[in-house]
Amino acid sequence: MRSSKQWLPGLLVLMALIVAGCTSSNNSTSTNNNQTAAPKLQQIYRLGIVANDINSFDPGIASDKNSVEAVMMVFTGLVQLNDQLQVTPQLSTSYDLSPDNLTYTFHLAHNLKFSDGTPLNAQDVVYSLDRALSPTVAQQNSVTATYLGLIKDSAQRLGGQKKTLIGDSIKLLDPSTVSLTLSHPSPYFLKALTYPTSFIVEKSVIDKWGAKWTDHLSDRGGQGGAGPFVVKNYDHSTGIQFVANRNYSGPKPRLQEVDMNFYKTVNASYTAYQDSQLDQSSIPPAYDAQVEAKNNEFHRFNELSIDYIAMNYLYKPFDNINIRQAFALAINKDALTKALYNGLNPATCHIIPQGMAGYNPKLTCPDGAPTKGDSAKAQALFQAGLQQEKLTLATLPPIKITYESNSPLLDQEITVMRQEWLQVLGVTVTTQVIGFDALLQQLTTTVCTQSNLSKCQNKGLQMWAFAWGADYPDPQDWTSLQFGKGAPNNIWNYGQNLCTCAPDQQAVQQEMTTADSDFGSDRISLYQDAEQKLVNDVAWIPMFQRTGTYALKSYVTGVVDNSSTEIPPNDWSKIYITVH
Amino acid sequence: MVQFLVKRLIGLLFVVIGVTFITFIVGYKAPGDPIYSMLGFHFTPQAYRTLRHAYGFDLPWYKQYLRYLYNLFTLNFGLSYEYKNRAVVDILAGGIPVSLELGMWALLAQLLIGIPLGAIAALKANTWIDTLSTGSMLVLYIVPVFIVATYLQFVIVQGGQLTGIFWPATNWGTPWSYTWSNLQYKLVPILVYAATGAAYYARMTRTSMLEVLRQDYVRTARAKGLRENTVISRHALRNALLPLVTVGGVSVGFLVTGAFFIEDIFNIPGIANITLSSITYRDYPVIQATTVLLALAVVVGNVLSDILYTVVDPRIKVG
Repeated sequence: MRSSKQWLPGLLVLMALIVAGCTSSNNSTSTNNNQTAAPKLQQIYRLGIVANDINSFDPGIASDKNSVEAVMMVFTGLVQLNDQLQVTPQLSTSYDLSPDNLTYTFHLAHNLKFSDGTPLNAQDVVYSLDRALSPTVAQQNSVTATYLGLIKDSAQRLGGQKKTLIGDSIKLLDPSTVSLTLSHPSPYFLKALTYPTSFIVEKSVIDKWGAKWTDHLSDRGGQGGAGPFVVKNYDHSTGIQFVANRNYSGPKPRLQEVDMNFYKTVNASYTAYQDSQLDQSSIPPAYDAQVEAKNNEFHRFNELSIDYIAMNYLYKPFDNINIRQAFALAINKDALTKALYNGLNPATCHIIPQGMAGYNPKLTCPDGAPTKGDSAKAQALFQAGLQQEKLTLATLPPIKITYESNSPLLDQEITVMRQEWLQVLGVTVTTQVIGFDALLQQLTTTVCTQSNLSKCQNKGLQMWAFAWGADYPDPQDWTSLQFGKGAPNNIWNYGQNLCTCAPDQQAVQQEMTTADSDFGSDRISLYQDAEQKLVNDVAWIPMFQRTGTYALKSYVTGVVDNSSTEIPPNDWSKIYITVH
Repeated sequence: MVQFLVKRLIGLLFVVIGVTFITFIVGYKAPGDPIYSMLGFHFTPQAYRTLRHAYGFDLPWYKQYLRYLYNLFTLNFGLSYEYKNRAVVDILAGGIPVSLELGMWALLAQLLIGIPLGAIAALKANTWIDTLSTGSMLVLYIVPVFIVATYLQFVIVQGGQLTGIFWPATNWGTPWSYTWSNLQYKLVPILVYAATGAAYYARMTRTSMLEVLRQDYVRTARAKGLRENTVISRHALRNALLPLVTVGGVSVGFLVTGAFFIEDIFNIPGIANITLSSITYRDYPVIQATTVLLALAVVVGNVLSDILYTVVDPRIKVG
């Protein structure tokens, strides 16, 4: 008699085949680069954001990194940056520039909609831009002038002297055409326009909810913006959940949900990442090496941010170029970054950082020295400077460096530099450690606004440590904005001082001004030439370019590292979770 | 009792006013300018003047304080400096339920773990049970709570990586919800938070019980032929708990301070975490509001323990 179990193996095989067939038809089996996408229910991307909450969800107000990241999920604008930091059309399909380079005319794409299905047209664009320039909105962030200040009469609008710029420099030509008129030709205007300040917002939502409108972004299945996602839920304590915007005009995201989870500290965020509660997290510096060992989870990118030491040209002895160069060459930046940052933040002499348009790989440090400095040259330059000023080490004016408190790494950095200045040059540099807002306050008294420059001599700060991060990916942000004639950031008084080198500096400023309105191919080379001269003049002592690191689970595919740290809206269609 | 309550409430009012004045003056006199912090790199004199007026910083200090006091009593704590257009009361409303839940369960755990352990240790005094109990409570009492928390997180994470079994090491889940996934979030922070307090209650209970067990009325109860369980529960334990009632009020203060570590390490979005970040960002309206709240919690805790004491011990009269 046959065993009743003989048919069982065959049945099991048959069942397995049936199950496999059913499974493969229900799951997502789209593949990309041999990476099988996980089922739809697993297409949830969980990010750790180190913050208690974002500061604002309002594109007209958001100015910090975390708020901008959230805003870019839900809102978008006429143009955007791609992952190469190039300007690409977004809500507009094209733009024209008038012959005098003053007026941009944007042509909107057809059938644009806000996330709730409400049609989006040129009326919404002009409303959003004018709203961003209104004093009520602009006073809450103070960045509007940076990004929209090129629009003609924007200063009057910001100051409240003009009630609106619609019909003035912001024109609605027809339901799908908008023109913006600038105060002067600016090749970098489109890059500035990619910042969230210019994003389009839904007027009806703002009219209904007033100042609290961003608390209602999840109403009606998502409203308020035209970005790739909508807000599903926003808990100010725990985080934001986004789901794909079905009315998005660009390629739809593949992810079903993106969760931005708030973590108070980077340690807590990374613990959650290790515990598989997150798919992406910042890395505490102590864990960088550990995560880097897991190569497929470690990501590093150049931030568009430079730490520098500044010296006031109107404060002795820093009106002497040789002495400035001596201070720069006395520092071994390579050793510093190795000791403090495990080499993570590369030493630099650049003012325009790597990854930024206009970056010059051939730029040389002052006097051709390497980033590790040159003690012998520093000493020679210092002696030459002392002779020129008829000074000795004993009669050298006291030198004090000011920097922000609550920054242990910066404190160590300054301590090492002071030791090097003492060892190499024999100069004792004292310190003034103050809070960030006190530092800002003192900086406003450092820039000379007097026509008689001698009244500003030895006033304000003498030497200080600071940093600059890109407003937009254009070399103008690093050159003219920092060192140009009358530039608001020209706190070090470049070109407006009593140095014999001032006329040469003014020539550099003129070169930058020419580049600012040059729409031709010479523009970048003009900025690069100006940058080399600025470096030779030691306009700054650039120290390091910051490097960002983060951990990303290997099953998340499609994320492209770029220096802006933001994911372009259309790139969300390339990001998904693979089977794991 | 009513007279007593009224007196304590009036005292509470003065304490609150005192706390508000101190926090206001500290914030007012603290170095730095919050408007500069807000504006950051993009400071302009015009923006500075506008914001300064919007926040009322151009008023004399006493007018600022009076306005603050008035707003306080109408539960208007003002707007956050850090989070644009967010009322402080909205920020606190997110954190209070979480901290209340955490504190409540931690207090309960302290009592439910500490008191029985202490009682058992007393009843089994000078045995290995007593030694084990006392020793472990001593360790929990000595080791700082942030060490225990960090170590347990490490164990959870490493255990998860080794076994593939997921257990959350951070966050709190949904407040006041007790599904299994939410319980997983809450269990470890509550137990860690309760550890030091449980150890303290255990030691206090042991000491108090030993004292009570030596009393004549306990000997009399035994002599009357009552069962040992009845002697312990009705006579000994009840009297042994009296000192713990006064300790209970003080322990609210410890709960408040301990919360700073627990909420920070486990990323729990409670009041303590809000306070810590508001200090970092010099968000004075939030700092002032949370300081007043925390001071209130301590004071109310003390008042409650005074009242409870009179309820538990009829020999004590209020007023």
